[in-house]
Amino acid sequence: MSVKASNSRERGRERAMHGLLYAYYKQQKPALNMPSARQHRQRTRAS
Amino acid sequence: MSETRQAERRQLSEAMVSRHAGMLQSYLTALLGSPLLAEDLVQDVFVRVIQKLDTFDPEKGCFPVWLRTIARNMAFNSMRAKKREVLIDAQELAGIEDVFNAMDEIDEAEVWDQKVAVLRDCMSSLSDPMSDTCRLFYFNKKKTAEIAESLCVTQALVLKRLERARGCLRTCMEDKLQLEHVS
Repeated sequence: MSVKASNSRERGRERAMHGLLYAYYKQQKPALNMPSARQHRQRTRAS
Repeated sequence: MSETRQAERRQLSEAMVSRHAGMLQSYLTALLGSPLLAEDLVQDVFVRVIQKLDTFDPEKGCFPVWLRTIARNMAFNSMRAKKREVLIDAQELAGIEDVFNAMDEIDEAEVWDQKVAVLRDCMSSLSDPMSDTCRLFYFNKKKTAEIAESLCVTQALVLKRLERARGCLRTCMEDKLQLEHVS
């Protein structure tokens, strides 16, 4: 596969991630006010 | 059509929608770039699929693939009718199909939400800035200009972080889904 074609295919897979990310975060909906990644780690360390 | 047949068809249609709506929403979002455009189309796709249900031949391929073929054609036709183009080449389309075909194969999860949960482990591979940017974009539905302002960075950096996040997730998901890395 040429470099251009392989880059295109990667871009396609990344577009798929775009679709999956919306679905992933939609599942998180019931958790209001999601903490940032840092806040989440701090809370986890504290507990 | 007899009443029994109608009731059976209705039951089958409801089961189909319940099982595949999430997948279809994600697929059309990947194709069109926008979850809102995808949402508009999902219902129309299911109406068409129910009309064409008798034409599905399981020997020619599996149901989710057939469903996505109909969805893809309707998406392109819909954009054409609005005089808009779906900017995608054959290899990009193949890339999207790679991921969704692999998701179909996840045996341990029958429901789409369970399949998407596979992404959870990959999310931990993202750096804090990427993770925060994704959360603001995908969960809080902020525009990139708003994210830039709230994080005190440039809009270009926000776009770059989102692009890098999708790249990291792609690599991780390729391993999880046992997809051959493209080189």
